[in-house]
Amino acid sequence: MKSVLKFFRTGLGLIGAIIILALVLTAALAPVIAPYDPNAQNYEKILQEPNAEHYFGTDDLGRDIFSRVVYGAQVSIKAAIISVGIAMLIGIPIGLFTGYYRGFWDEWVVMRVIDALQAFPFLILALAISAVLGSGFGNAMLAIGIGFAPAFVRITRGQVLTLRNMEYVHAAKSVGVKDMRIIFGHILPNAMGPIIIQSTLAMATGILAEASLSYLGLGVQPPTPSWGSMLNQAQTLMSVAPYATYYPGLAIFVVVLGFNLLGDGLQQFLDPKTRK
Amino acid sequence: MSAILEVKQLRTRFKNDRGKVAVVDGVDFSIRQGETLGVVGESGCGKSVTSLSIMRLLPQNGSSEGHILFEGKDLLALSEKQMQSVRGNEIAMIFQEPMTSLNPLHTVGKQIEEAVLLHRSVSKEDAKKRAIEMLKAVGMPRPEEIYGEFPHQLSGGMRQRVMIAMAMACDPKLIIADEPTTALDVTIQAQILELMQEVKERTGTSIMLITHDLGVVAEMCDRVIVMYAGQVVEEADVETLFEDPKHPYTIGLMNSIPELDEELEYLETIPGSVPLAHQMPSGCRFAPRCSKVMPICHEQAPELMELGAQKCRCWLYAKGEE
Amino acid sequence: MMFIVKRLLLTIPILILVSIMTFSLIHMIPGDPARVILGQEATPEAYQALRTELGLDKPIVEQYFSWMGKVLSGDLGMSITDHVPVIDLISQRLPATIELTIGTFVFALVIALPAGILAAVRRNTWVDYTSSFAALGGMSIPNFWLAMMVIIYFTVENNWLPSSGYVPFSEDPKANLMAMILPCLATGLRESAVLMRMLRSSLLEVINMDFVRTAKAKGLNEVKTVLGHVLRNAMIPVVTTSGLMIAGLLGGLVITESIFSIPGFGRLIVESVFKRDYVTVQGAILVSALLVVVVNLLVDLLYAVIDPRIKAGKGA
Repeated sequence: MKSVLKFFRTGLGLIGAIIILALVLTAALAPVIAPYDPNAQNYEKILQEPNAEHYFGTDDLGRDIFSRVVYGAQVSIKAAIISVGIAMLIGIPIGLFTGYYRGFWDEWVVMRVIDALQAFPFLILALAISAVLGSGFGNAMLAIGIGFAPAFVRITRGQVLTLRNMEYVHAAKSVGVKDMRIIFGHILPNAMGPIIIQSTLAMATGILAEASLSYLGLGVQPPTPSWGSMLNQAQTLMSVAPYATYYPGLAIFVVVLGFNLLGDGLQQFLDPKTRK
Repeated sequence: MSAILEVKQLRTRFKNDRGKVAVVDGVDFSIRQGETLGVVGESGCGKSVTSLSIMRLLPQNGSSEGHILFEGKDLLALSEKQMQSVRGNEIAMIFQEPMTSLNPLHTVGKQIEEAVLLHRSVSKEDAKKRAIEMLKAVGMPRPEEIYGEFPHQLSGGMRQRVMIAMAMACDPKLIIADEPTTALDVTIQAQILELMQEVKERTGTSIMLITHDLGVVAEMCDRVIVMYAGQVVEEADVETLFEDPKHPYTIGLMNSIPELDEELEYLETIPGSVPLAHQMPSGCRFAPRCSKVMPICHEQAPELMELGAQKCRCWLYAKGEE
Repeated sequence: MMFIVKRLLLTIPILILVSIMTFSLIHMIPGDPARVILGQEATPEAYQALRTELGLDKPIVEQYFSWMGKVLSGDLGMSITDHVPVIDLISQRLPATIELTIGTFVFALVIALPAGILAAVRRNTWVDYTSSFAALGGMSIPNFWLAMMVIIYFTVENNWLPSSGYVPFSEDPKANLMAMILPCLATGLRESAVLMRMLRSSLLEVINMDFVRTAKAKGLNEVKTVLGHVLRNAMIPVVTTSGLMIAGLLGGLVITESIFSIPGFGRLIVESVFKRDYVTVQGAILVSALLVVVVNLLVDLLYAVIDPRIKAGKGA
């Protein structure tokens, strides 16, 4: 009983990793896994309930929902990597430099700008940015990335504030190592733990946010299969073909859960305090 | 004088990754009515765990075996609900850290009142009266005002007075004080000890005083038990203990107190440290640090032997009988 | 008092920056905003009129100050498509959103409070693992999908509750509440998951504190100890972070309102985005940021009420 509990606790992160691996494989092998062309319309087979030929049924244009869900994995994984990548590219350097040099810029410019940015509800900010820039996947990613950046600034900066007072940083400084080398060679590697946890959890939110924007019609444009836009199209059919809403949503749920499980698992692994 | 508390073969163990570890291992002692019993030992000897075992306030992974007879009833056999009516009512406890032992969000008065309302069927107003009376009894200036103040507004010594007031609020028959003065300044320490002495004389309550400070013992206690590595190694009344300590560990403790009237060249200390609970030596637990160690000490664990009015767990005093 | 004054002063730079960011929004439109808004077919007169209305022909700093001056007097401009003051559009839409916010929060608390307490008190047992896992699951469900599932189950298949047909509370309280149940459920699940996790970890921290042992030593039972001594102390960090939750919640409501056809503030934003009514979008996001700032301010002041140490200026 006890060992079952223990596995349950430590094994959840592993399950998360397996889910993510499955997502990556599905995205990479989509052409092999999907039985149909995700965009092929078949007017003879419109709105079919799930059956042996079409595992998840077909939509109102006769497209195979299973194939579309499989191809949707590609969008999802791209969304996770690109949005968080943008956030890290913006957030980590700012966090590193402000935390290391402190002073006026840190206290009165960067941190206040971040406070202000975080006053905007995340999804509303993303909505507004992608509205202004125009709909489309790239702009949606930029909008989400900007929305995430403050969290990365904060977490990196917090790490730097403790690390800059460590013995080895003082030692490096005293022998004349250049600031850049200290920041990127000594501080950044040691700050990576919390940054990795944050990025895993941000990927979960990133996938959710991309799906939300696509659902609202601002992210991925049709006919590219994405889980969010599939749900947008399925919504009007809710009373005739509820099954069309089941699988894309389930796919989002499982994948987001995977990232959350992994992030939670990493957190416990790197910081045993949180649970013990 | 009858015993109010009798602890018999108390064994308290904690579960951890390696299994169960006994932190208190076969402890026997008793406290008589109106008596102050000192429990002395280095940190980690099991004295605090003993007190938490009596209160049944051990952390989740701890469990006790043996008997703890309070006025004849075995506390270890009581239901949690029955135990709740003992805590704070018949046995009260004062903790070491006055800074953190009070709830920062409730007023001092409310925290004292709470115990009264819980154990006595009195009205809110009467409980308040009682709380103010208690604050006055522990020597608080302006008790009516202090009643409505928050812990952070008080100094450490004041907070410990509040803790004592709280402990006394229901006239307990036994107060367990776990290092009540350790966290306080020396001058405040004396005041708090004086207060406890006064309380005891006025109410006739028994006190179990846990301390590592032999000076406090000499001032406060009637009888003393010395604990080492989860066991009682010596028991005696306070005069006997100071005049004629028997156990080498007790002697070591005595020698490590600096005395003002003596010009000491160096301060004696006991070499080594208390063995960890999961790697106890097989014979006498003190043997690895003992200056008078004999071969038998490493082989067989000594029992607590009666030597007249004194008890001692040491092979030195068993020689004659063999 | 010092705390309150300090906290109020800190809000000022945030508000200024929020206004600058909101103002810049229109200028982020690639190319000529007036052209983008009106499209290529617009007449030169209409084009020039919009440029004047938006103040685009003045230097940018001057534009900001004249915009800011209007904002401070409560003028958020005229909607490009509806030709009514944006402030009126927003104030019509806010009540529904506020009602939803409160309903969602209540729903989240009703679930999170007992679940969080139980998980913390019975920690490392099945109760804890189940509720913690469920919370992680709740955080992973896309809001809009949950809303659809709820509609399919409660409305399409069983017809127990309406999935649309919002009426103001003042007109028909019963119909209003009926129409609010599903939206609150769909949005509240995620919030309750977030809240439950915060509460659990906060409780675990407090539950091992010395004063909790003191409370038990007084003879309090577990329930009284947790409710009387642990919970209030554990609520301090939770209250602070639940102020931040309001931002996420407002974002989530954008979607909920769209799905359940509730004429709220979030739906106004979505509608304006699609109508390219950037003036309304601008006004609406300014108001949303303002709401977040104000709620956080109130939460921090509430914090001072819960924790007596703050008023005295001691501690954190």
